[in-house]
Amino acid sequence: MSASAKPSLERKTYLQKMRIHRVVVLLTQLMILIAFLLIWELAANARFIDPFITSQPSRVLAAIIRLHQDGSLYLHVWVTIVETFWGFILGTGGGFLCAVLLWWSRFLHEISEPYLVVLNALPKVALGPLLIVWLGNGSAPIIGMALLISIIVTIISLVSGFQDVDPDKIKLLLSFGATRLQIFTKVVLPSSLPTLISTLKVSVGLSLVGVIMGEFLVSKAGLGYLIVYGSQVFKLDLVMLSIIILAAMAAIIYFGVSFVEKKLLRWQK
Amino acid sequence: MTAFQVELDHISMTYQSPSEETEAISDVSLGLTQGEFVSIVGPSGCGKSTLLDIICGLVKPTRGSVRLQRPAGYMLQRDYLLEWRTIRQNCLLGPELQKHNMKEARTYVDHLLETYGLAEFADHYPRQLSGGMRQRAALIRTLALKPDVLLLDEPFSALDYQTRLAVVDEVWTILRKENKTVILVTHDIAEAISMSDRVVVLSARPARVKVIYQVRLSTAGLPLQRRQDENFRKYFDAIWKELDIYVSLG
Repeated sequence: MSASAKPSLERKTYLQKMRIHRVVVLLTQLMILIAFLLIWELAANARFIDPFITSQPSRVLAAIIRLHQDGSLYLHVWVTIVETFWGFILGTGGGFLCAVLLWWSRFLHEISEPYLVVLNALPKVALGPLLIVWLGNGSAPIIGMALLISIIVTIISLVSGFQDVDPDKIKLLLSFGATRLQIFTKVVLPSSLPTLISTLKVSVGLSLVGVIMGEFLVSKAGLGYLIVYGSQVFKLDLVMLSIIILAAMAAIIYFGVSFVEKKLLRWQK
Repeated sequence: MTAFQVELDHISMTYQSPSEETEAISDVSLGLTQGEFVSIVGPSGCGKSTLLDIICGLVKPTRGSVRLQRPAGYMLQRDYLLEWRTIRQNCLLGPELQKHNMKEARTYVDHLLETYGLAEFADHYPRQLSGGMRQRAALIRTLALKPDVLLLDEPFSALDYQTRLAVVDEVWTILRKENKTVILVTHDIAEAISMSDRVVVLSARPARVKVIYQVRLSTAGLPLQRRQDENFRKYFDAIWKELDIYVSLG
């Protein structure tokens, strides 16, 4: 209402202040990054640190250009993206289906609880060698690792989200004669949307963790492969480059999920 | 058979839990004629809400039976409007779940929204409405299925006092206009007397019908005006005594 009218002087000053604050925060964040890279580069040049084991920004950049020219950069990034995608889809999709099932049947939920608790606490990487034996040495064990790492957390947090729905809201629907399916689709699912999205955020990150872990164990390509290979032949440029690309991927994923969140939770604003 | 529209026939309810058996309701019988407004008051925790759940058909009584035209409209303590639906979509929830003809339902809901002053908020989200308006929207949601009988479970208790007095008048007017048969559960004696034709007083757990007052006030009009009636105080004192509430000032 007040926004359409002529803004007062106080409002203008306030908005001005907010804008300046945002710019200052952004600039400081950028400065930290630039300072870090600069100090790294100069320290390596001055031999305060040994670029053979720490690498340095200029070398990383050179490595990126080299891999870009022979095309292998895209191969490795692509392999990791595809594996993460499938691990995420299978882990989250499977986790979602299991969570719906456990919400539907209290009996199943009661039975599965101790198993879920133990599986959740178990370090999934311990299953890596088994996965290799069972699924071979292609992409399958890597996707399997990503799935294992994300699915249990997804199930646990989604089920608790589903069960958190206000029982009186369900009572309201029952008074309208709703079926169990209607209760799920009309109330439980939409009320759990915030939980669903925070679970997505966690599980997409975990899928990436699982993929890198899987690639450490067994792989012929991918960023995880590049990291292990680079460290074994002491090409730390390759290692640093992979880590930087991974950080960029994580950032893109984060903003992607935030975008979806904004779209889905419009009614909250 | 008498022409009761709602009939409770010797309702008893016993809860089981691992540690004990709790008798919540003991042999409650009650009959309401078309268009009657009956309030149920009782000490807190006496099983008033359970009784309403039984009447609505959400809970099966241990003994006895309920006879009424289903589905009955149920209004809860809070409005429970779904935040992600607009007011109109919220009001259409009942017809949607019952898979009614949505075009007709929409026409009817729009008519109700128009009649009761919410037309311009039809496409707003619940958080954009005040408490009183939200409760009115919840009432329209209940009316959208055209129930003959409405069950109100302390529907005003979440509102602040001033809003509450206004909303009571509003809801009462709407229910009278639509000629609904109403059962109101409340802990507010004044609210019960000002709105009802009869007030049923329940005993402490297990709930029994202790006494039923036929409210005869000479003042016609809205509940707020009925509170000014000379006999209002008498009913209030009598029910207060029946409720047996001891306040210890230790």
